[in-house]
Amino acid sequence: MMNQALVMNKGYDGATVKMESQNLSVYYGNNLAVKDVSMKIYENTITALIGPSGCGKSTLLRSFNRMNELIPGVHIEGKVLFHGEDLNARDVDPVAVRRRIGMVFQKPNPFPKTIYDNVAFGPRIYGYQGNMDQLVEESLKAAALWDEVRDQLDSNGLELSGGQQQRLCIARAIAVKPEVILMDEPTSALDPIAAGKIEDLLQELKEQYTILIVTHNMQQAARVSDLTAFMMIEKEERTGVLVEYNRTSELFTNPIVDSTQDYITGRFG
Amino acid sequence: MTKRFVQELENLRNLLLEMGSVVEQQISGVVDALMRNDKELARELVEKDEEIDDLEIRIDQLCEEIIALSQPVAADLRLIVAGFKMSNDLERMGDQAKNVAIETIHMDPPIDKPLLKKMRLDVMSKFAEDMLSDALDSFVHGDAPQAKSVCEMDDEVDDINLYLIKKLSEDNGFQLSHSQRIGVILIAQNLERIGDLATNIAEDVIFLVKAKVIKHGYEQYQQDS
Repeated sequence: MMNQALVMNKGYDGATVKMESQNLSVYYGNNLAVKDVSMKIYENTITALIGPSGCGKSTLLRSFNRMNELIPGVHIEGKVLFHGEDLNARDVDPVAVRRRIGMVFQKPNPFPKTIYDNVAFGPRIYGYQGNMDQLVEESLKAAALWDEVRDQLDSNGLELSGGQQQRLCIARAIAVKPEVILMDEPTSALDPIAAGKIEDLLQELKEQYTILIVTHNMQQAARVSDLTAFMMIEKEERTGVLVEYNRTSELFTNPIVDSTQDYITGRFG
Repeated sequence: MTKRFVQELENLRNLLLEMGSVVEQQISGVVDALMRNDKELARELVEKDEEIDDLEIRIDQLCEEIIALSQPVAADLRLIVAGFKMSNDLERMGDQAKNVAIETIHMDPPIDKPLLKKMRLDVMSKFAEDMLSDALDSFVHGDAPQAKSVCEMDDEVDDINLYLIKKLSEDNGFQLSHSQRIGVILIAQNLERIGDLATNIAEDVIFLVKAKVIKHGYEQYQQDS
């Protein structure tokens, strides 16, 4: 029987389902970290994952581009579909998966290379044959960084400010033309001004990309996302479960489940 | 949730109840002054309206502060939204009560109590008082069905108002002077508005408890569309 609180699994204004987890469980060794999550991700939307520390948000996020398998002892049950195809099928190359489903991390992590080379790094690896200068410029423009760095493309990426470094990482992710961008607390290491620029950027990026973002900042989730999924730790088994999934405007004004209400109003977590 | 935030929400609830209680006393007082033709009491109550105005400002400031400092969501946000509206409605009720007191002061010659009762102004006043009292009760207990019943009581107040207007404008059935007729019509209209404003508060309580908007037939509209 479908969980009635997972409203968005029934559809979102006719939007196309880009990705989907089906009864997904993730284990670290014998420990069940995320249990039986079924969730649809819609094209050209921003979906926020919120919940208390340890509820499995980042684990779930990493399942959407097979990043978990880089961690020893991790195995999954259930499926993750991308355009209806099983991402974890034997014949699917995880590197190809990560090219189409990019990721931006909590701390900006540019390579110790020039700004230009940071952006060009991925496309070179994938054998990009087009005009690299143009691709770098387009990617930096899409990441709202071009105007600030156009005259210093040969400078080291690590010389940029934290906010600029994070936008450089977004440009780097965009340069390989992904369809989905996963973001794991992308602004938590930034000051409010830099975080605000990333939030503005997200609104522009969703025109072309599908974005799934983990954030501890509920006001940020409320500001930037179209849809919000609330996860929490199930008490008995100490595992992360998906509790409620709805339009952000609904979830933050009239949550269906009491534990969602308690979490977003700060009564626990 | 910080202790400070919890305390602020508690302060808001207490201030709204304090304001509600002052307005209740004000309405009860002006009805008493009208029935007994106590112009002195009516004058005192006109002065007392300032206390209600001050409470409205304090509540508005507190709501603004909570939004700015604590960014409430869901049920907490609904309390703030309802708080803004309730304080405004209560302040308006205070003004309506003041208007009744002013008409009492200017009523010359005064109308005696049996005639006021014959005009059903005592019944109308009682309805208005009960509506506010029940609306505040439903707020205290988060009781949506009770709030709904307040909305239904408003029809009774409206009916008496229409009856009086008809009676006074058509056949002057109560043998009143011209100025008395105007005074009674104004008193009835102010009591009718008090009923409307109590209905607004009851609707705010339903919004607060159920997250549903029922005013202006909106709920029905939502179901139909």
